[in-house]
This record gives sequence, structure tokens and C-alpha cells, in this order.
Amino acid sequence: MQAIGPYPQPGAPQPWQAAPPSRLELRYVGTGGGLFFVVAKNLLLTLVTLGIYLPWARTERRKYLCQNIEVGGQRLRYHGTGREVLLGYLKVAALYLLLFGVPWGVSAVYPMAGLVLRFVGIFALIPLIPIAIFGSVRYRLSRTSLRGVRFGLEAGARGYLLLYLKMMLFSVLTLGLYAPYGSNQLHRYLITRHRYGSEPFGYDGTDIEAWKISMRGFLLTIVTFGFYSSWYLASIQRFHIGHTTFQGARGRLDLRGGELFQIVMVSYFGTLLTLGIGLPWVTTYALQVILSKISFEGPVDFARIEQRAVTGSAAADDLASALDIGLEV
Amino acid sequence: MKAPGDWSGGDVAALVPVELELDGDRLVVRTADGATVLALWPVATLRIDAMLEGPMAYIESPEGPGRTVSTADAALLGALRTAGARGAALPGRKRVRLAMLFAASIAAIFGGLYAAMPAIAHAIAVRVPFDVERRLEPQVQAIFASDTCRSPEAAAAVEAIRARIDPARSIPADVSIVNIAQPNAFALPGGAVLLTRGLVEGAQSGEEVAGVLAHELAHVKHRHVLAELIQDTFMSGVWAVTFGDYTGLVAVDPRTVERLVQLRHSRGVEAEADRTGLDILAAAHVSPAGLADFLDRNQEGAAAGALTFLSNHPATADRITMIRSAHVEKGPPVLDDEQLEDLQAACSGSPRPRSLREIVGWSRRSQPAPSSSPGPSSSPPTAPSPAPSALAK
Repeated sequence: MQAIGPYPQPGAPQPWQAAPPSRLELRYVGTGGGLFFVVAKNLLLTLVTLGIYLPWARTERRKYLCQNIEVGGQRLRYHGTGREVLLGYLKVAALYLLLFGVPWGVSAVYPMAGLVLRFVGIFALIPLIPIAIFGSVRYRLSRTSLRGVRFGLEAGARGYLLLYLKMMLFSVLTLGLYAPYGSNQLHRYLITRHRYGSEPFGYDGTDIEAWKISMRGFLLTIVTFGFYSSWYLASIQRFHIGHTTFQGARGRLDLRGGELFQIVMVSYFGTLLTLGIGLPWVTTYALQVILSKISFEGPVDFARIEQRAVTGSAAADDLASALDIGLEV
Repeated sequence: MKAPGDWSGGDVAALVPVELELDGDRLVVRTADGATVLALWPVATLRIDAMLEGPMAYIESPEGPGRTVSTADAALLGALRTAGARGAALPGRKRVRLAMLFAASIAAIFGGLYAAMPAIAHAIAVRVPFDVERRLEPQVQAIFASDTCRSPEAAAAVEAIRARIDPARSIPADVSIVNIAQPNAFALPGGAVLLTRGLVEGAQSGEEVAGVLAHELAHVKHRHVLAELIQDTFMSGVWAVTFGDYTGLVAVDPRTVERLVQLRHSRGVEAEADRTGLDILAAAHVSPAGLADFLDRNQEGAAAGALTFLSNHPATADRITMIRSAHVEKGPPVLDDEQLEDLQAACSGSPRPRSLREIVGWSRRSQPAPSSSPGPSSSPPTAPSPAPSALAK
């Protein structure tokens, strides 16, 4: 009889433990054919089940994309299930029924009251947007693991909502000038609540620097009739990732504007000319190029990263989807 | 059978290089130096989470919650599956063939739906009480309320035509004249029939207007508009559900009135309306020659480049031939000269005519032509067309 144990203790130095890596690279190893297989299977099953399979289809697709991402040679794993997405859908459907179905029913009997309720429903969507964004990120992180340890997002939807409303209000008052400033505050709020196991992420990008990049990008995008948008997007993403830290490591994005422009063009024409059939290959190409440009440089001590309990509701993720908030990979 | 792997205890992110061995009905997990056994898992309890791309797979057991081993050794994974571990094998090369099969199945289902839906939608439409469809009419009429020409004399002329071709009022339609420059006519949900200012001003006889109106009444009689609305809604719904775009479901909301006037009938439906329209004219002893003249002028407009939609429909010539060949016992004129003048002057007191796009607020310039008798769908929104277009397929 073989004896089991002892298991490695958290934080304890182990003889097999290598020196902390000084550079973690990201890589996407998925293929266009593989994604096409997943998408085609999902579409068929969704069609024949009259949409009932959709939550599972969404989970399958996300799982394929997530699990084919390597971080420092190890795959991410996705633990979300179709069942929880389905339950989320039902909650969102109930919410929509409350916000839009009830006013419609009331307006049939009391037109004026129905009109007021309709406006209430529409305005209620405004605070729902940041709540959905925060909840969606939280759900996805809580279902993603690396090296057996889950990612997570600390609670704080209320704070995110207040920051969001503040950004909206000040942006209106300043004719949009405040938007990049507030947007960076929101980004910081979100990133600094990210954690991998017990270890938090950090963000040190200043609001004023983000504002300068955004204003320059915005003006040049207008002057160039939109052509500069890829360069603008690449620069703000370089800023965001370059100011993201984890333990002793700092993020780095080597994506240039021209490369992003090429990705945009290939994606646009690749999708258009193939009538959408080429989308899985286009997605694969974009992920391969973008992820290969991301790395974390500096020491990361995995032995120090302990598992923590995580929570997240699929309903918020479904709400983000219903509100058409693009948070996919 | 032995293979290398990585052990994750589930409590820290540090991985332990391990040696995996399939020992009978158990998987033994040892540290790489063989000194420590980390797990002894019955193979029957194992779940293999394959990564689809590459040989990498994660192995878990409920007997060691949170603990996993990863390996890329295909031989060991195959042996574990053979020994009873759960977790689907990678589809491998079969994936391409399977994907093509899935795609072909999707195309076949959509093709079948598109082929069968007109008949299904029509079968449903004729079973919907007209009173139910009628509820849509106020919303449709509301769109055109401020653009309706309200001349009592013209209304009387329309009424005279109506009394001639449908004396028993067997077709529940409300006919109005709208201040749109393009010659056109529409049958809309709920029995609303619209004749445009361009159509009545360009009409050279009461028979021409009667021919157009008979065609539109035929659409109402056969419930074509509701059938196409049902078909459009159903297909949009299937599309939205399949592709997960639930915003599309909002767009199929029957209260979205803009959609109602954007429906375009198929050729089969137009042909049926032609036949029934001719029957209506024949029963009323109204010569269809006026209608044929009307379409003739349409063709001239198309040739001049003003009505590009018509130029794409060579079937118009066939329709004219069919209409001219219809034998009708001719009765008295539908309208006398004074009534025709009243009809032609229906919108004379109205302001500048607007295009249909301006009225319904279309945001996309490439929208199909509206409803049953699409006219110059590709002509500029504000450019009045020189020739009438009603009844053009």
C-alpha cells in the first residue's frame, strides 16, 4: 500500500520549485478550424432546440477561447456552466419583463401611467449598465483559473456605479472633456479589484496621462476621418496594460497602431468577403497577434499565490449581453 | 504505463512536476523523484478536461477536490479513457468533416424554413380574426396622419371607385391618399390602403386608379400583409435566437411600426393579387386596359432610368400582357371628368410632398421598397418620379 502525502504547503519552499519566472508571455493556441467546429455545433444545436441550447453554446465558445490561452506555458481553464447561464437568462428576462412588460401592460389600461413607467424603465437601464459590466467581469473571473487557482473580482459594484454616474454627469457638464479622465478612474477601480488567488493586481496609470492620450487620439481620429482610431486604441491599451502590475511584474503590450490597423482590416474584409463564415479564422488571427504582444515582466512567485473563495453571478453577465455590452474576448 | 505531468494542489498556484502511472484501476500521482505519492485515484472517478487544441488535458477526481494533474501524454489519456475515465476524446481530424456537416445542416434547416414559411404564415394569417389584425391599423395610420390629404371631394371620388369595385364592402379596407410624390400604393396591416399623391395626380382615368385599388384590395382580402409580417417576424426570431442576438427580438416587436411598412411581397403573392384584382375588375365591369396603360408608363419611366426598381423586373411586361388579355365586359366609366379632377386635386392644398423615407424616418437608405406595390425603391427620397409605379412587382 502506497502512502499519500504530505502535500506541498502554501508558501513553503519546495525542492522542485524553480526560481520565479521573470517574464510571463501570453499565447493563443486555438485554431480557426477548431473554433469553426465549436461555432457550427453550437449554431446547429441552438437552432434545433429553438434557442434553449444558447446558454450552453455561449459557455462552450467561451471555454474554447479561454482554454486555448496560455499564460507562461500553462493553459487558462474555464469553469462556467450552461446551467448557470440559463438561470441568469431567466433572471434577466424577469427584469426586462418588470422594466418593459409591466409598463406596456399598464399603458393598455392607464396610458399616462404606462408612459411614465416606460420612461422609468428606460432610465433604470442607465445604472444597470455599470452594474452589468462589473458583474460580468466578476462572473467571468470567478470562473477562470490558472494553475488550479481562481481569478476573482472583489465586491464593489456600488462604488463602480457611483464612479460611473459621476463620469456621466461630469462628462455632460464638460461636453465630454471629462470622459477620458473618468474612464481611467473606472479602469483603475476595476483593475485594482482584480485578483489572482490571494494576490491583487495593481494599476498606476494617472488620470491626467490617460486624458492626454485620449484627447490626442480623439482629435487625430477626427482630423484623419477615423483612420487614426487604431493608433489611438493601441496607445490607450498600451497605457492600460503597461500600468497594470501583479506582484513584482508589470504588464507590457507591444502592439503598435499599424499592427492593430492591419488586424482591423483583416477582420473587416475577412468577415465581409466570406459573408461571416470566416469569422472564426479572423477571431483566431486577431487573438494570436494581440495575445502574442502581451507579457508580464518581473518576478511572479506562484508559491505565494493562495486559493481564495470567489463568487460571481451569471445573471450580470447575461445582463451585459442583453444590453449589448461587448465584453467578449 | 507512466507519463510526466504537473500537479496542482488547489491551494497555491505553484505546480509540482509529477509522474503519473496507470496502475490497474487506479491513477497514481507521484512527485517527479518518486519519493512522495500525492494521490491514488480510482480511474472510474476521474474526469478528463481536454483542451480541444493540443494534447493538453486536466485530470480531476472527486476524491481530491480542487486538486488536478495536467498532462500532454496522449497515450496515458487514451488508456485512462479505455479504463473508464469520463471526458470526451478530442474529435481530432473528424472535426473538419463534422463542422462541415453541422454547417450544411444549418443551411438546410434555414433553407427549408424559408421555403415552407410562406405557406405556413399564410395558413396562420387567414386564421387570425381580422379584428385582431385591425388593432395594428391605428399605429400605421398614425405614421401618415400628418401627410394624409383630406379633400372631401377626393374622398368622394375614392368612395365612388370603391362602391364600383367592391359594392358589398366585402373587403374591410380604409383607403386614404397620402402626400407622397412618388406614384405608388400600399396595403398595410389592418386593412389600411394608401394611394400616393403622385399616383392620383398622374392617373389619366378612373379605370387606372380602380385597377391599382383592386390590386391592393386583393392584398387585404388574402391577408398578404399579415402573412408576410408573420413570416418576417418568425424568421427574424429564429435568426435572433440562433445567433444569440436578442436585440433582434426587440426589433420583431409587432409594435415596431416602421417594420410594417417595410415589408415586401414575393412575386407569387403579387401574382395572386394580380389575378384577384382582375377578378374584382371583371365583376365590376371595369376595363383593365387602364391598369395596363398605367404599367406601360411605368416601363417608360424605368427605361428613362428614373425607376430602377422596375428595370430589374422584366416580369412587368408579362403582367401587362396578362392584364390586356383579360376579357372584361366593359361597363360605364368609373369616374366622370369632374370626379377625376377632384381626385387629381386631392393634395393640391397640401404642403410640399414628402418621400416615404422622410415620413417613416428610415435610417438606412438600402431598405427594401414598402409593402405590396413597391415603386421606385431605389430612387432618391425626394426625387419625384415621372411615371407611376403602383402594381409594379
